[in-house]
Parts: sequence; C-alpha cells; structure tokens
Amino acid sequence: MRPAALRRLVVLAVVALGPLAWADDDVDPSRAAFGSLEARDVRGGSAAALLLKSVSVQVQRAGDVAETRVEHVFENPTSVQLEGTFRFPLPSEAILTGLAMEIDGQLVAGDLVEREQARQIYQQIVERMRDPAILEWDGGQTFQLRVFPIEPESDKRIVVRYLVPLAHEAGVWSYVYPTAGLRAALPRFTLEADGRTLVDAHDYRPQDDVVVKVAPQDVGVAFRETRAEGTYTAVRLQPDWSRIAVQAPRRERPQSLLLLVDVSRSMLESRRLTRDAVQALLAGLGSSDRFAVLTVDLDVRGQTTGFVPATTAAVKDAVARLDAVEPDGASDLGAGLRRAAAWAETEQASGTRDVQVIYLGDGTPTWGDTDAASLRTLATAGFTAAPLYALALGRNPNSKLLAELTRSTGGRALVPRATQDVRRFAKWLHLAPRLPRLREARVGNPGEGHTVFPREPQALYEGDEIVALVHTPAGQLPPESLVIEGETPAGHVSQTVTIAAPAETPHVAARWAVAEIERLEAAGAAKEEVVAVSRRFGVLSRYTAFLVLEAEERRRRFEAEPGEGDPTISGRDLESLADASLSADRIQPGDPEVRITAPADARAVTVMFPWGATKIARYEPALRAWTVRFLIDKTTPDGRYPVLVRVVHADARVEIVRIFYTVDTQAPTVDLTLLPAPGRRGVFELRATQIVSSAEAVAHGETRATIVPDVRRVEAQMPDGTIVILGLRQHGELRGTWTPRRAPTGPFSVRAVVVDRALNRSVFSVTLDPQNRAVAAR
Amino acid sequence: VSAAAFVLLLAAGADAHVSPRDAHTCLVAPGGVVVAGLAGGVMVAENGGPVFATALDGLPGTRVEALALATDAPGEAVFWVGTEAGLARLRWRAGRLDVERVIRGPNVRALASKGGALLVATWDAGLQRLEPHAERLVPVAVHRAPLTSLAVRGDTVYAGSAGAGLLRLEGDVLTPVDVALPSPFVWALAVDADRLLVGTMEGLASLTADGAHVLVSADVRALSVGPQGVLIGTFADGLLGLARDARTPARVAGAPDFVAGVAEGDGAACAAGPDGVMLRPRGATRLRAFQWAGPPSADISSLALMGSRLVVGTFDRGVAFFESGRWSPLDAEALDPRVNALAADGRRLWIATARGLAFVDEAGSVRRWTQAEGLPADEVHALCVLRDGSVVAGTASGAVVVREGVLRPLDGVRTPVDQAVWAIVEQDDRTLWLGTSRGLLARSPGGRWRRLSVSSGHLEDDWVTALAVRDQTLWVGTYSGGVTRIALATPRGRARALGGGNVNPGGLALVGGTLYAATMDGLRARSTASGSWSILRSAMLGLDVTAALPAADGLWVASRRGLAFWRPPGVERQ
Repeated sequence: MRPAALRRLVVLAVVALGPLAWADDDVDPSRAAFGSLEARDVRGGSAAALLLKSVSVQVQRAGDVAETRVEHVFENPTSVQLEGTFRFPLPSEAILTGLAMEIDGQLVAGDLVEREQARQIYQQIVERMRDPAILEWDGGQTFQLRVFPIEPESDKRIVVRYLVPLAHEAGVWSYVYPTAGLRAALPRFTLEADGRTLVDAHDYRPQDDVVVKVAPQDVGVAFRETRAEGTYTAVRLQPDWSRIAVQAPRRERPQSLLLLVDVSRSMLESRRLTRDAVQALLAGLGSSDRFAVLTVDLDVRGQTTGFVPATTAAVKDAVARLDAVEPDGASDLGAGLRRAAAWAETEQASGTRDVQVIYLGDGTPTWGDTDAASLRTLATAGFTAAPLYALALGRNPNSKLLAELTRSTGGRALVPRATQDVRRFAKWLHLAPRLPRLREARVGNPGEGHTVFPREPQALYEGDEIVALVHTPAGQLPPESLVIEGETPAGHVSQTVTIAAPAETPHVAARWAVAEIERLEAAGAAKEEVVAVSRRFGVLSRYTAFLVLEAEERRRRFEAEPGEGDPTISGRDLESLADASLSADRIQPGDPEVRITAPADARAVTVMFPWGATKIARYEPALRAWTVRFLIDKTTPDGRYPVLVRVVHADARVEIVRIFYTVDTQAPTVDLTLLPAPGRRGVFELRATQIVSSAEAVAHGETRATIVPDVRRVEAQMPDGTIVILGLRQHGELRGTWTPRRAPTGPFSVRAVVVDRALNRSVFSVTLDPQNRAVAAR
Repeated sequence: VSAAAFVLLLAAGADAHVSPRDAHTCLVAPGGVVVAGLAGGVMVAENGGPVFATALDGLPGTRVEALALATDAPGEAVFWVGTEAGLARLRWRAGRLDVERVIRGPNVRALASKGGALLVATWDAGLQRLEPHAERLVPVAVHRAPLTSLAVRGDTVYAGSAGAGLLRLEGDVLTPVDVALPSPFVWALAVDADRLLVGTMEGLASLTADGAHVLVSADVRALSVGPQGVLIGTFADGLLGLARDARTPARVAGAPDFVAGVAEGDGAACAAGPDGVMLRPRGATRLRAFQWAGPPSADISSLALMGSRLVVGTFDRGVAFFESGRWSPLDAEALDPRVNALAADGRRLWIATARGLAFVDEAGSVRRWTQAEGLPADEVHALCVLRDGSVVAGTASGAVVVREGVLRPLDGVRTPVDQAVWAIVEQDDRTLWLGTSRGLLARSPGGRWRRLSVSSGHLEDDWVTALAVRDQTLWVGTYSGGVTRIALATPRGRARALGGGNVNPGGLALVGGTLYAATMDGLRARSTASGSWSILRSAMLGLDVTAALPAADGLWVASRRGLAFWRPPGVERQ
C-alpha cells in the first residue's frame, strides 16, 4: 500500500508548467534526464549510440524528496554482441540509490561493492562472457555504467533510482523531471506517480520539463525514519525572523556586480548558456550600477577596464568581448578568485556600493589550487565584505564545491535550469544586501550521541531554511526541538525550534548517510569507513560501485564475502530446463525461500511476513546464508508484499531490511498468428505475441509500457493432431513451425495452451486461416 | 504442574495430535490454571496433563494468537480465544474444556475488556467490538496498518500496530499517538499504574505524563505486569524481568531466546514461544519447559507408514515417528528439517527435503545425497519406492533412481525429464508415471516415453502434483485443475476431469473404493466409481490439507495446522 499522501500528490499534479528551458538555441541537452548507451563491438570497431526505445519514469514522493525510478530500454539493432557505456545525467542534488539491469529477462538489482573489488569482479566476468554491469561515480553528478554483453538484435533494460529534493520557490513546491533539451524524439515516454500516468507519449519531443506541483501541506516539515541502529530525523528549520534584531533597513544603494567567468576547455559546450546567464545578470542592473567581467582559464583577464557603469553599450561591449573568447585550456579557479577578491575590495573601498561577486562555471579547478580546502580558505579570506555567489554551469558542474566556497563567504550557489532561474537570481541579488540575514548559521547538537548535519555554518537570508539531519542512536529518544544559532549585526542569536510531529518517511537515513559520507571524506577517514556507511545505507560513494551480476554469479561472489549482500526472496523456476531460480518479482506458487547473507555468528535472524507471522531463520553453512522457507497461501491476492528481516549481529548491532515479493495469478493471453514459413514450402510458422493487461501490469507495480512480458510456453494442437511447441524468441514473442501432413485448404480451429513464468495458464481455441495471414483471438 | 503423557481429545470422529511447539501466547487463570495459544490449538494445564481444543472441537480456527479471561469465577476458567478466523469462548471446569460460543470473523491478534464488551484487535479488519450477548463482531475503527495489541487505561483505548506505531481510539477513529517510539512496529502493550508500556520491534518504551523513555532495547513481543515488576518477552533476547526498583532488566534464567507470550497471575507464570510453553507453577521459582508428546510442528508436509509406525514430515521441523501412542523424533543432525515427501518400504525410510535426499536404514543410520553427490537438484519433491526396491526421486530439475545406494539416470542413458518432478507412481506393469510442471510423462518398461498434457487433451492443468494408480486407472491431481481420471486400457488413455480443487503435492490416496484428495481447500473424498466430491470437515484442523494416509482403522490427515486421525464414517456432504 502506498502512502495516502502520494495519492494526494497525484490529484494535485499539474504537468508542464510555463517555459522553463533555456532559450531554444541554448538548450543544454546534457541536463535532460535521459540516459545514453554508447556501445562498441567487443571485437573492435568504433563506438555508436544505441537507440533509446523508451523511458518510463516512476515517482514516489517521501516528504520533501521524491524517489525517482527511470527505466531505459535500448535496442541493439546490429547482428553483433556489444559492450556499452551507459551515462545518466543525475539531476543536481540527487542521490543515486539504485541500479538494475535486465539479465535473462529479469531485472537484477545491483549490489554496492567496494569500487576496486567491483572492477575486478566485472573484468573477470567479462572475460568469461557473462552478464555483469558496473556503475561508478566520476565526480559531480556524472555516473557511468559499463554493460556487457548487449546481445545482437535485442533490447537492454537499465534502471536507475535516485532521490531528489522537491523544488521549492516562493512557497511553491514541485517535482521536476528534466526533459527539456532532448535532441531527438523519444519513441516512448511515460511518467507516473502512484500508478497514475501523468505523461504517456509516443515520439516524445518535450519543449519543457515535466513539473508536478505539490501542495505545501502534503510536503510536511519534519520526517523520521526508524532503523535498528536508531532514528533519523530530517527537519526544515527556519528562524523566527521577527525575533531577530537586524539593522534598520538601509536605503537602496547602487550595485556593483563582478562576474568571474570560467572560459576553460570544459566550458566549451556550455558557451552559449554562459553567455545567456551573463546577459541575464547584466540586464538586471540599473543606470547607477556598475559591473566588471573577469575571465579565467589558465590566466585571469579583465574583459572590462575594472568596474564600468552598466550602460547598454558597456553591457553589449562586454558580452561581445566574451563572445570572442574561445574556451580553452585549464581552469585556475584559485587565481580567478584572488583577482576577483582584489577587484571587489577596491570597489568596496568607496563604501557607497553593494559589491557582489558571481562565479559562472563548472567549479572544476584543473590548474593552480585544485584542493577544496585551499580554495575554501582562499574564498573565506578574500571575500569578507563582498559575498561570493556562483552559478553552476557546464556539463558536469561540481556544485558541491561551489556550495562550499560560496557558503563560507555568506553567499550561495545555484544550479540554474533556465535563463528564467538566472533572472530570478539577479533580482534576488539586487535585494540581498537589504534582506535580514543570519551569518554563520548552524544547528546545535541536541545532546550526546546525536549526530547532526549540516555542520558547516552558512548564511541564512529571510525566508531561507536549513534542512537538519539528525541521527539518534537506538535507546535514546529523538530530539523534540533543535537550536539554530548565528550572528547578526546585533550579536549572537540562539533560537529553539520545535520539531512538530515528524512523519514516518523513508529515505531519511539515506539523506543523513550522504552527509555522513561527506563528513568522513572531508575528515580524511579511512576508505573502509566510507565504504561501510555507503553500503549500510545503500548510497553510492567515491569508493563504492553498483555491481550487477546474474543470480548464480552473485551467489558465488557473496559466498566469498559472508555477511555482505542483500536478503533475497527466491523460488525454484519450475518451467526452467536448468536448475534456475526465480526472483521475487513474480514468484511461482509453492514454498519460496528468504535468503539472508548475514554472518554465521549473528545471534539471530528473524523474518516477519505480511500476514503477521515471524519465523526464525537458520544458518546454512553450505550457502553461507540464513534461510527461511515460507508458504504463499492460495488465497493471497495479486500484489507486492513486504517482508521484514531483522538481523541481530554478534556485537548486538541490529540491522533491519525490508524486501518484497510479488504474487501473480493472472492468466496470460497471446495473439496467435499463422503464416507461411519464409522460403520453406509447405511449412507454416506460428507466432504468439503476449498481450499484457493493465490489471496485470498494475498488480506488479508496472504499466503496460514497462512490464516485461513473461509468457514462457505456448503449445498449439493443430488439426492433424500435431502439437506445436512454440519457443521463446524474445520477451512476449514465441515462434514455432508446423509441417502439416496434408496442406490445409481453409480455416481450421486450433487449441492453444499458454503458460507464464508464474505457471499461470490459459487455454483457448481460435480459428486460423492459412490462406490469409490470420490473427487469432486470444 | 508436571509434564504429562500424550493426550487425545476425541471429537467428531477425529483425534488431534497437538504439537507442543510454536506457542504464541499464554495466560494464567485464577487457581494457577495455565492456558496457552498454539499454532495447533489451545492448551489448558492444571495440576495434570494438558487438554486441548482445536478446530475439530469447534474453534473457528486452529491457530490461536490471542487469549483473554472472560470471568474469574472460582473453580473454573472462562476465557476468550482469538484465532486466525474468529473468536471462541471456552470454559474449563473440573478437567473439562468446552467451547461455549463461536464468533467467526477476522484474524484476531489481541483482546481486551472494556465496559463489559470485548475489544478485538485484528490483523486485517481494524478494531472490532463484541457486546456481551451479541452474535457477531461490530467494527469500531479501521486502520490501514494491521493491529497487534490492545490496552485500556481508564476510558482510553490504545492499539499497537505493525508499522503505524501506537494508536489511540478517538470516537470511531484510531489516531496516531504523537510520541517517539523506538520502532513503529508495536507488538505489545500493558498498563502499569500511571504508565503505558509499549513493546516494539526495537525496544520497550514507557509513556507517562512526563513523556516517553526507552527501558529496553530489544524486539519486545510480550508484556506482563505483576506485583514484582514487569516480565518482558523478547525475540532473540529471551525473557527479561524488570523489577519495580530496577532501572535495567535482568534475563530470567531458564527461558529460551525467543518468547512470544508471557503472563503472571495467582502466583504462577507462563511463557510461550517457538520452542513451546514454559510454566512456573505456584510456589516454584523457575520457569520450566512444559512438554507433551506430539508432532514437532503443527505444519505437517507429508506422511508415511513404516509397518506400524507413522512417519510425519514437517514443513521446517524435521521428521518424527508415532507408534503405540508415543512420539519420538528422528535425530539426525545432517538431515535438512524442511521435509517435502516421505517414502517407506516397511523397514527403510526415504526423506525428500529442500536440501537433498536422505535415507534412514533399519539401524537408524542416515545417508544423504545433494547436488554435490549427483542429485539433479537439491530440492527433492517426490519419492516412489519401486517394485524392485529401488527408489525414484523427483527433484526440481528432473528425476533420478537410487539403486543399491547409487544414483543413476532414470533410463540408463538419458532422460527427457529435466523440469520439476512433483509426483511419481509405478503401474503394475512397471510403467513409471512422472507428474511434472509440464504435464504427465509415462515411461514404459521398454524405455519408451510419452507425454499427456493439456495440449493432448488429457489434463486440465500441466502442473501435476499428485498421482494414484490402481489396475488400469490413473488419477492425476494438479495444482489448479483438480483431478483427472485416465483409463489406461483405452487406446489414447481416455481422460475425464473430476474437479476437486488445488491438489497438494503427494495429496492423492486410494482407500477401498474412495479416492481422497488433500487440497488447499480441505480434504475431499470421492467414490472411485462415480459421484461427487465431499469435504471431510470433521477431519480437518485447517483448510490447507497436505496429505491423507490410510491406516488400519482410519485415515491420517495432515495439514498446515496439524495432524489428525479420522475414523470413518462421518463424511459430510458438500
């Protein structure tokens, strides 16, 4: 059952708000959240992009974040086996939480594995021509997945799952799926929330992003997730500005804007975006304002003679000079910041102007100071009076570094999706010097044992919120309030903010874990510590990778690594000719098994089933796993069911994992076609194509567009008594040949038996006509 | 109270054999009478052997999850029993246990009295109420989460839920109580003076006017408040005692690691758990296991006869023997406890398990084969002892013959059978019939194979789960297509669908002129000659019947809710 709040989200959904994309000729295709799969022949040859046949997006909101599942289907139209590289542009601030790839018709989830180990395993398996995939983080929001093999004339399904914060601006909450900028039409695109389809399009050519509005009351303020090791609280905090003493509102002063524009090689593709942003910022200046433009690559150059009045001619001249600069070379961000700080200080010296510095670029230093800590020190020391702001642009901006640099000066960083965002930012910049502000704002720790993020102080302007993430160890009560502290012109401020009725919400722990990983990395913690947190909370880090292995390989690998891996529910594949197992997505009747790869010395492993029974798992040394067998009762309706696994480790640490299985009792249906076998006189070909009903798709949490057909066997009893067994060609497509003893002269009746993977069966009679290409009823 | 010998409760022509394991809850009635709710029924013990009640005695369901005292009149105990299919009120007086009232309904998980009415927390139908003389339950409040526990403090009714935390009844709505709990999975509630104790999957919280604080970190399943303090039943951390003046709990000696129910009263105490019932009689200081002879589990998967010995295989608790009124377990460490099928030839026993095939010789020695030793798959589903003494084992990936202790392919060279084999019988002429997930396969003594299936017009379902053969007639039980009778003497094997529901693996038995089918909807009986199916309700402890085995004077009936011995007649018309 999905939360009621999500159903309300769907009701309130409004798709495709006004134009949010950059100007038509400045659309950044890298921002559209569609993956690409570039593949090459394993025997050599050049790489080519495979056809993206369909993308289906499923969104499930959880408080002020949404989990997004994006399923891509690529087609390899060639007759050769390929190895590919899948790239997916993760939206800004998104947290990657899952990866799955189709292997032998089943979606197989990736395991988080230490990165080097994952690479070794991947390579070993590729050499044995099996089916692995490995997804690694390449910094910023870029993720790359290596896939092998991509079979000839077949499809490849790849699913990524991520958490993304809802957009929040001027009191309006919305979920945004970036689609603007897609270059070629997408044959099929669907987007749904809670099973309700919001977009279902063929030949999709988006002009805008998909935007789903969410009512503020459905978002909530405080969220909590309870796990064995404690509770995790996420709360959006806002100081009571009415109780914060601020300086008397100043009269509006002229503005001086310094633009530090990154023109290094990495900005080449985003050249026009940068130009649009510069124009949008300068267009907001008045006649009494001044501006300056510095460009930075290996060198720092003034594109204006210091600060100049913001006349139309001066702006036009500056933009023209910027246009003449060909982005090239490395980026010496440190040198750029030093020069900008010096110019700003000189301009500030007059004491009559509000000076602001804005960096436009990808925040990826490749020359000079490249270390984040050095740059942070530089920014903090250099921008004492004029805050540093940043617009994160480029294919793969390091928005995290830019956020750190700007935060330390009292400024902020923005990842704009459209020129409209830049214009709004320009307006806000104009107001910012006169807004009430809490400098070095931070959240106090509610007590011993709690871990609170964020830890770095930041500037809060009126209307801003801090999202606090708190871990409370098991046995302690979570905080009922938090303290916000900061500095104002009137002195130190400390306010207690009550956490009102947190809603039990998934993914809070994962959000906390991302902050914890950042803390560990910043503190220079051992790789093992980072890997442990990454794996425990299922979020990727620079030291881990998602590795997808086919079932047997996975089992074998985890046997070599006891205590690791996720619990699974599996059943025997009764239709298989090999000793194969079924995954939990369509379990067959019988006695499936829960398998938990917990350590042998765990004190206890208990499994709670959806009908209220708890079973105690037993350790099987041969499997190096804990197992429990259970019964799916005949009366169980179709659906997806949760199972809760509780592991008490030898050190008394408790781990709880929720896994699911799906019950499928829908009888399969097919269309049956008879036609002469090409080039074989007197031989007919029978073709069966599965028809998946909406009800069956919904029962599996899928749509008709996304569900993988699962018919396994079709048998047809022909008029001469022959039973033709149709073989599986691809998902939902079966073929068989019939050589009649005597050529049929007219329509005849055929009795067909259809069996799916869950052993559901349908039997029907149809009339086929060999004279006409006959399509039979189901 | 001392452990007693095996006790049978005679009812409706059937005897229930109640397993001493898998106790879910217990209570202590005045006079130290202990009542326990089990997977296989309800048990009462007072100064002697236990007495049981099951579905055969009129309980709406055999699996008992909740108990509550109805009255505490001296010399008797009247209590409510909550089962997976409704409620019953039972009276214990002078060593006799009677079912007084039966209210069929939802899956009951907790009971509490309030103002003369009985409040009923259910897993699937919210909170309900039973007025003193009412015939049916009345819904009070629904909630999306299953309810697990109840407590009444003054006028306030609290309900624990699996996943939605602590709820409070406000009018006809169950409202979440805004309090930080260690987990939203609340298993147990208890009122202790001015505090409400909330047992959750991750700890025990104490709620007072000053707020909540955590007393214990554990998977707390049961609570009992007594004059000395609180007894806390946990999963994995045993039974804990929290004395009135103590801040930390102490583990109660002698109790098992897993405790699902606990109660104190009148100087006695009891605990319930997967290992069974424990009692502390009045005057005693320690809890001791209260055992009686019975099958190792209420979840029976298969039956066989070894001469006069009944062999009982369970879903996940191994094998036991029953002979001359005595139960004894098969002690074999190497044996996987998940038993799928049994076969015996009088002196020797074959056991099909989820992890291989086992053989027990006359001396009791156990030999085991798995995939590593040559089985086609570890999961063994079916067994058949052939006339020549060899055994055919059907696995998840084909069948194999065990002859003179050696595994051999089915036809010496190769076999066309490589999918799951669920049923095996041998015809008088030594034709071997294999029930598979792709239909029925026959192998003639000459080694010729043929297949009968839905496509060939013989079956209603290709998943063949059970077979029975006599002379020239074959009965084929299937997962979803009932039973088909095939006349083997006819040229093509004339088939007739007989209906009969979902037949469980190994679920067909011929007794005289009657065919019995163990199905997921009960035990069905039908004349082999003609007629319609009847359901033998008086033989069933639960709907999901897994095996029927003829014995000298009756029929052993196994189900997912226990074992019964049924004596004909008494067949009820459907």
